[in-house]
Amino acid sequence: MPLTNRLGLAVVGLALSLGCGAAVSEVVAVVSASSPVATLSKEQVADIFLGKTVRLPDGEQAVPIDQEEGSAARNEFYDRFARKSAAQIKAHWAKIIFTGRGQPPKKVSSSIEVKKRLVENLNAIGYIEQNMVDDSVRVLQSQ
Amino acid sequence: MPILNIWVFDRQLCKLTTAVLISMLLYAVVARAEDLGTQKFSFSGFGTAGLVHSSEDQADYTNSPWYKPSGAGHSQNWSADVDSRLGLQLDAQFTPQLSAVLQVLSQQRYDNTYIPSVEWANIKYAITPDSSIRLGRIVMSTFLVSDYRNVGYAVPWVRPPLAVYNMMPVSSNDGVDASYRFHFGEAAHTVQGFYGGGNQKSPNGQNNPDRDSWGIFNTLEYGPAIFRLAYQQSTLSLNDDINSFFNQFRQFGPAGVALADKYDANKKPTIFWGVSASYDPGNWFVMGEWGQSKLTPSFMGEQIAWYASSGYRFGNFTPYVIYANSRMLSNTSDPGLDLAAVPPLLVGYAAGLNAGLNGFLKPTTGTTVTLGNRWDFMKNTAFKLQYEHTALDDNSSGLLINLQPGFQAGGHFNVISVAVDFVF
Repeated sequence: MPLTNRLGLAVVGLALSLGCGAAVSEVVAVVSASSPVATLSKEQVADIFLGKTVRLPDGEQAVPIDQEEGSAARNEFYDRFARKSAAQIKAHWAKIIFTGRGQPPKKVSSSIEVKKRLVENLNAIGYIEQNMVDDSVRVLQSQ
Repeated sequence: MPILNIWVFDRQLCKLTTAVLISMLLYAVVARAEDLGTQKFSFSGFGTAGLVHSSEDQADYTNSPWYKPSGAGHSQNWSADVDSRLGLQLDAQFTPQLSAVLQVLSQQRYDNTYIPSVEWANIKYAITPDSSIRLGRIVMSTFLVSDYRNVGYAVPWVRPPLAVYNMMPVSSNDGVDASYRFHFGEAAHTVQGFYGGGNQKSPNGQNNPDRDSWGIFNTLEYGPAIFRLAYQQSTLSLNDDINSFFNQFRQFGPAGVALADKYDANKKPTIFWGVSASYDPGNWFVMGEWGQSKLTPSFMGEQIAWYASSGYRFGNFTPYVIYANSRMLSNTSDPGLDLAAVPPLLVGYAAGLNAGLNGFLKPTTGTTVTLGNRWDFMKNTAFKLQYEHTALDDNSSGLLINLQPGFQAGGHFNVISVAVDFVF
């Protein structure tokens, strides 16, 4: 029994680590290549996505483009930029929604959709996997 | 007659709240067909299914001793009435500046039903992205988590610490509210002010209107740190039972009148100020609130309450601890009428009044230690298990209600709570 238990644990552990490895390449915050925004710190990006800041440094209203809940890119993004789990992000927005103080950012279904939105709106800011970066976007924070 | 004007103003606000509500619903119905797809409307909800057990079977434990009629302990061994609730919310964005919110909440009411009530119904106009005005029924941001105290999923515990959160039990008001946020460096400072009034019914079915309420709340956010200062004032009109009790003292000459004037709480302003802070860098949090409420001169007196809480996140588990304490600054007893000066025929009656007065002056203070765990076991759903131990101060009945003849003031009791919180 102890041996099978240990084996079971090993299988679970392997599955978990495979799961993590298969997740995504590193997630980066991006704006349109023609955006006037030159640089934003990790904290500034997180504040925009959490609704704590509504403006870009040039004074324009920031338009964050979020990805679907449960997507690997989204979990990775909030973990890296805001140090928060998906449940913590949900609780954060519950505080804001149920006080009538705001709504979370619009969500799109993929990094390709994010890039489309960035091209349409120079004040938009999004996040995509590093390997999705191309000429249409500029990386704000690759840390 | 400024008081009359304010009253008329409050009544107008109440009508306005109703108007906001009806126009939002109409707009929702009319606009539904064409606009729902463009996210002009969003519908969301929250709720808690909870069960609570108290070791004190000679009284009831509740999260709202002012407005709920029963709870865990005497009335029920395990009570679902303490924490269970369901809230539904409709948000409407008419233009980038103009939006409205309607929130309906069902929880145990004064009459032991779960008939839904309108918690919020207001329209908001954003003058700039950082400043806005709201009109209608609005949350009172008295405490750090006041804004979302009903949303179990958004708070780390089963419920906010009672000793602090029941100092000002009114949760929403009909009125106006303005908020301005300014940034300096990486810090954001929000100043918010409100004016209005409202009404809450107590378990005997009587109204407890508050009029002429106003407050100023300052919130400083710097990264994961929040620091808050609050000042609030409200004039309560207490229900007739309490008023008629104190009026009986007035039959006993100047000494009786003086006692009635000193302890009557009717139409006297309650003043509250509070300081709170929280720090939540991601894997752990620490937070605390300190408040002082003052309704003097009156039987409500002056009290201080505070709590400190911390928790650590291990994956989906967040164990937490809370230490809460409250104490009275004003007197908790009074000799009352001098029985030697009372006509012999009325000595028994006067002694009864004195006992009643000292009943009102009894402290509700004590110390509570809480241990609990939050488990985010599935998406948008959290399970919480919480244990609290309360040591009441001498002669204190705490925030327990429905005290039975066998209840012993100044004792200890334990409370166990389980809750499932969800949002959608």
